[in-house]
Amino acid sequence: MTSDTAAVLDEAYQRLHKTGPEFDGWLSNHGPMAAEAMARNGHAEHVHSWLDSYVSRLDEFPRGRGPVGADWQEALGDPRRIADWTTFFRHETAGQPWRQVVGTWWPRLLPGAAASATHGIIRVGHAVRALLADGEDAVHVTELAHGLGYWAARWQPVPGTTTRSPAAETGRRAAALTPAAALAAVPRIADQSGGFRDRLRQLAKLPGWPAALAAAPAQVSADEARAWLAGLADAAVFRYLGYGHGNPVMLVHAATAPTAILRTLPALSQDLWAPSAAAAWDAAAAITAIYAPPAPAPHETLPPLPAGPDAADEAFARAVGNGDEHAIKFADTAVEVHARTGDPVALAAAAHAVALIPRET
Amino acid sequence: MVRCLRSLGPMTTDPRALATAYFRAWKAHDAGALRALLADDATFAGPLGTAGNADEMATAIQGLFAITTDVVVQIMAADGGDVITWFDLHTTVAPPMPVANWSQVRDGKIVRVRATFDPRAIVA
Repeated sequence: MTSDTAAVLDEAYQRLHKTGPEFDGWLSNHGPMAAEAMARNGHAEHVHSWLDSYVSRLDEFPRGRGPVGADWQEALGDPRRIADWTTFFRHETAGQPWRQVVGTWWPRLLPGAAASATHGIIRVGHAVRALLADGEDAVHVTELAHGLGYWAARWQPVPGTTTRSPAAETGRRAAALTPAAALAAVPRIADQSGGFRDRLRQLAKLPGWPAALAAAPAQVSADEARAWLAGLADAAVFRYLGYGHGNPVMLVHAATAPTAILRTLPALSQDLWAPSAAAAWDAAAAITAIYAPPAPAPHETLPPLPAGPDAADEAFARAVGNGDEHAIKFADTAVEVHARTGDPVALAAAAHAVALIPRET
Repeated sequence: MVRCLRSLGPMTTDPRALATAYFRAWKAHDAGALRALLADDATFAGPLGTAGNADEMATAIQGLFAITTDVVVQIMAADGGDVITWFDLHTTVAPPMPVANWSQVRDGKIVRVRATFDPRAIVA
């Protein structure tokens, strides 16, 4: 990314920081994430025109209720404290290096990775990628503070993960199932209706859910954890091609949440990589359990596999042309998976997302 | 654990009987019984994953319980401690798929399992 492109992203962040992290009551503000994805993939020139349309849908930044301090644990998961949490992290990042803030707060927030249907951790993942790519940048750091604040205010654990005792995780246990097999084996909730939190609650009583959670590796090396996490992101993108029709928007997050965590690993100490991979699995498995359809789409309804040297660029450009924030973010992840694996199924999945997700205007 | 094993029949060291108990435990979604058939250092390798010890292996198969609706053994052949089994794996996510399984038994425990099948219908 050139410095000009980083400047475009800074301007976008500054526009977006006047708006709240949610709008219409509970919808996530995807502006910072989509803008970063576009800038990162060579579409900086489209960022502001896209925002011109998107920002009109957003709410103003909310008012605070009081500072977050020593009682921060009581404020975790309290959406009324979004502004307070954001102020808190602006102060935290102003007083110390951003990596230090992430190093302190990542393990505290990680058990609540389901926050706002994983949008908290995803926004942080985009902000960290921007900082790692562009270097120290005050506006980028502010965006990180907004992301961390949103995550903290919507902090929400996946059912079954908080009762997973540390004692049970003390022994090294490699992931015996591949990520693709583990996703395929995730049980589905019976009542596939309602909102994210209503569906999430059903996991506590879902037969087979504890066994599904156990699919993640435990106490493995940092490199093993990173490899498994990358495999999870790959598998989730590939799986979207067959199963994305179940809920085209929400199933995007089974891939984008692990990707956000994967992108953050370089900013974390290696002892946090294995728990990060486990949290990514918890999130991806939960989204799969509550939104995946019972059967894949008929093969004849799926797009052909893209080919050619420009296939990845074309896949991302199609998503930008569509304009939907989820299509853009999924294409961003799919292009990354394609670069890692060379598998055109990732690009077909991105094309499928564009077809499945109409842009809201 | 004892109750689970009892439900699957008396303890045996016969390789063919152990392999039969292995598939019966899988079919019954009985993780305890399945784990009891494995040596602690048992290993597994197949299209859906690998395991380096019995706990990893049991965890993996238990993870598949959620989609396993039946395990239908078509034929089993034993040669000393080696047992080859051809079975159909019925799942909620794909048509029944034929699987070849090679189990090795030592000292009354399964020590090594290798499986091969086309996994695309499950993981695609």
